[in-house]
Amino acid sequence: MSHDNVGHADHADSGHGHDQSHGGLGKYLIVGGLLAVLTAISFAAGSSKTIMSTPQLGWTIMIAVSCAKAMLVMLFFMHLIWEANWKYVLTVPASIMSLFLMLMLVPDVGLRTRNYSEERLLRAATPAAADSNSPSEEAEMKEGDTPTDGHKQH
Amino acid sequence: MAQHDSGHHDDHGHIQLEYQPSLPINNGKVILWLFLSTEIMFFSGLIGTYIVLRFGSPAGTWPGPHDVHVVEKLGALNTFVLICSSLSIVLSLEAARSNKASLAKIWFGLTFFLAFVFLFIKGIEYNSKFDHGIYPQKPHSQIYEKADIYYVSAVRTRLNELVTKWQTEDTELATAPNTAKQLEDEQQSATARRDALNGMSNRSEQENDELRQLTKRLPEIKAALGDLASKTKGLEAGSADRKVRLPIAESILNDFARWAELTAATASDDLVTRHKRQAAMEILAYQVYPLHRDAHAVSEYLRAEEADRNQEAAKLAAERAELHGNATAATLEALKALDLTPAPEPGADAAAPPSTNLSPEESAVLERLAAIDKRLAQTRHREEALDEHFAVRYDSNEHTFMHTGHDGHESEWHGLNDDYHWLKLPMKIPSGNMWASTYFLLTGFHALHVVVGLIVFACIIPLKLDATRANMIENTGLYWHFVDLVWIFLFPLLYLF
Repeated sequence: MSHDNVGHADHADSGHGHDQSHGGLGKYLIVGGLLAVLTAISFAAGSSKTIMSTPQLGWTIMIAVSCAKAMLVMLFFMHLIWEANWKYVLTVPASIMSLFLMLMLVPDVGLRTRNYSEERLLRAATPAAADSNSPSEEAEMKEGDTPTDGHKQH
Repeated sequence: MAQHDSGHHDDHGHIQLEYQPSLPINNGKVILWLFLSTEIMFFSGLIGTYIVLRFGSPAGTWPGPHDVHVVEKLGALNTFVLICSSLSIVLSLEAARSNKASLAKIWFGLTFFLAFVFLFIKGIEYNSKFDHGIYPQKPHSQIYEKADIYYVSAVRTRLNELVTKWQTEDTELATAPNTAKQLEDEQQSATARRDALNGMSNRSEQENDELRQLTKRLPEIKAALGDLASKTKGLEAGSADRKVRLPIAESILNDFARWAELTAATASDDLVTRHKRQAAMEILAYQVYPLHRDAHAVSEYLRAEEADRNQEAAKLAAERAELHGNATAATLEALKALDLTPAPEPGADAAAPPSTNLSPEESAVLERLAAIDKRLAQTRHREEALDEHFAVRYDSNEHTFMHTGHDGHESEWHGLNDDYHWLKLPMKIPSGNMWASTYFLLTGFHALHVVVGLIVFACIIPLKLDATRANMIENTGLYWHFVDLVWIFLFPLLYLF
């Protein structure tokens, strides 16, 4: 452990003097261009009817693209790629905690509709108008256009 | 930065231990990174809650971007704007480190400008939501979760409000000259009486009292006249609008909202009736604010409703002819008196039997005939209103209703709220309330961070951005990149999912 610390301190020490050598106009422009291209990719995926017909595929693509963009911004624009190991101390626990935070919401918030009471369901949103009626009901309605036909359920 | 005089020497002489009092970065940066790590948790809390709420909403209800006037292109543009601003601030840092102060200022100014552009576009987007009645909270929010009886009665209430308001205003305008005349008359007589009293040399106690009263009353009358004049002016200004809007609102109230409410109130509880009740409410909800996903079902409902209407009308007409055929001479006489042959307007009190001496059976026939005619009139009005306010064609390929604009160009129909922007009727957007809350909370907190960034930029811009300020620019940049980072996740989640 102590060996590691020495190493980082040295590295940081020596690296500090010529910070500007890390970045450079070219590198930043490339990263900026990549970010724009990635935005275009996620926009195209989100607007494509073919991809969004399987929404899970679209979501995966878009989240993957977002993660890639986030990594590019953090590593290059925020200089994390050139920082010493302290970067892990500050970013990794925060990220893990936020992941846990999201998971903690799943049972009570994400799965809330599973525990809805009858009464609560009465006030809950219903999906598209078509789905609110079972196919059998639909068929029944077409047969019995007149209310006097006596299509009683029971 | 590493310190070698740690004060004590280790026994293992060949290992040179170094004591490091702090992180190998400047204090400002440490603090900023600590702040950013709390920000990571703050925003991932928000974004995580959004994801969990979105995917945990009742299946298939979360509104799509176009259901809530989200424009993906504006979102993508804003993403691009933020990326450019991130790039420009990093270039500003580069310039400052090489001591090129003026170049650094140009890049920094560009960042400042791009942040403004971002907020401007955001403002346009918010405005279009507000314009369409999408707010995060009541009383502005007009979003209903489903087309149930509460929704239909909310639509009816709003239309009633409009109609009553305009009718009252019309009445007030009509009676204004009369009221003004009364006030003027009073003013005239009061002035005359006051002058007369003033002219008297010795007034009694009672007359003195009267004079005091009149002196008090006269300015009141004057003020009332002034109020009336300005009110009349306002009412006259609105009268042209009212003339156009009142019939439209009345027609939508009677032939859409009340029609749906009446159908929804059908008492029978068999499946067919239940289905029809739901269909009537769904049709109304679609007419007010069409959701693309409902279009197909609504087109089916409308077809079924038309078939129902025709069937009912045919049946009623047949019954009517039969009743006429069997009518006794006395009934025919009464019928003529009532002039029932052309179907009366709804609302006309046609059901009242004439006071001739008819037998109970004959009265019953009359009442039935009146009821039939009332229903037939309702049906006819419904059809006329559909033709007028719902002149659309269902496109079965695109699964949407199309209407032809004034220029003859056919485009997607956007509903009564869009056709008549003053209607502002309640809308059915399933899960729309939750959507609005999360959308405004997420984008609002992000915009707040942009505003803070702008303030910081404004403080730094007047300084000379040479190498001594590099750390300051770096720390500001770190914050700004984080704002960009959050948007990178918000864009697909809010605009594309």
